Amino acid sequence: MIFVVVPAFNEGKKIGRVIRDLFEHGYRQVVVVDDGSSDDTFRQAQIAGALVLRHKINRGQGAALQTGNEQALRLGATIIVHFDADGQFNPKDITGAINKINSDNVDVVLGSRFLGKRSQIPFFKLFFILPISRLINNLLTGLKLSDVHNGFRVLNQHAARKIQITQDGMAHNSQIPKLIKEYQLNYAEYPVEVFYEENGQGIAAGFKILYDLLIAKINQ
Amino acid sequence: MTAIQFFLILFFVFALFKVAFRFKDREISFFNALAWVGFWLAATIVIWRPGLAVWLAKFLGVGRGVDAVIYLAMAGIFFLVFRLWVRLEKIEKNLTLLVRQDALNDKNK
Repeated sequence: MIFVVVPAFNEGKKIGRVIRDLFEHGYRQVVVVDDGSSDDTFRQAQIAGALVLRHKINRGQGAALQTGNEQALRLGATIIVHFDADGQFNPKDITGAINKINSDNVDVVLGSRFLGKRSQIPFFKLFFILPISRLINNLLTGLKLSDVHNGFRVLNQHAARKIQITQDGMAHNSQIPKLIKEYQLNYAEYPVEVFYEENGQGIAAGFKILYDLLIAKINQ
Repeated sequence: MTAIQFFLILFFVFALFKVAFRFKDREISFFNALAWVGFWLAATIVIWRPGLAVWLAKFLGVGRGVDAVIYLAMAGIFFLVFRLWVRLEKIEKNLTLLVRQDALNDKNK
């Protein structure tokens, strides 16, 4: 059974369309985790027909994903798809990514903006922010990936049980590759399309991720 | 006694009372209370008899008594900040677990 987990924070304007898009593409099991939104994300997700869980206070995207994973596993998920709530991803990519899990016999498929040419990545992001983040991430996680901090991923049940996300904030994007390596899970990358809007993660968010990872390292 | 000695000792006595009340209200454990009483008493003695700080400075190889006190205080403060930070991280993690449990038990409500 395929479950799509959508962490959402203040996405009331977009979440409904994202869920309906997923339904239209045949994904009926959609778990939305409203991460303490102050807008009507929860209600909009309910109206759209998703199973909605609510974090009463905001705990971060990593925490919301872990909650979604646990709910999906409780309901018998064999495949879990992580999908953003802001409409950045294309639901059409899900089928290909799931097929890759089966055809390549891997546990995890990670979305990559760089494997295909479909994503229109802003210039500064493409040639400055992403190469630096990729280098830092490769050093920190030990996993050589063509893309970093791409929220699109597909996990089989085994991987979803193994990967316990404890990085509540955005640093989960680095923690997941690290755990993939640690648990020796088989993985593959898959080209996905990402639609860009102006309010993506800035440099400040990058520093916050580094800070979170540093703290995690010290606390180990 | 100089003015600074007077005000510092007054503050330390206030801190000692605070510790006593916290202990009386069972907000801190006996050993925690004992440690804090020891700390504030030691601070009071050092301020009251500055010669002790000078002796300590000589013993530690630091020039002035006040320098020795500042160095030790800084080390102590950094250690406390570290401890608080670790505790805070733990509370954050526990908070996430609680929020998650609540969300999982309370679907679509």
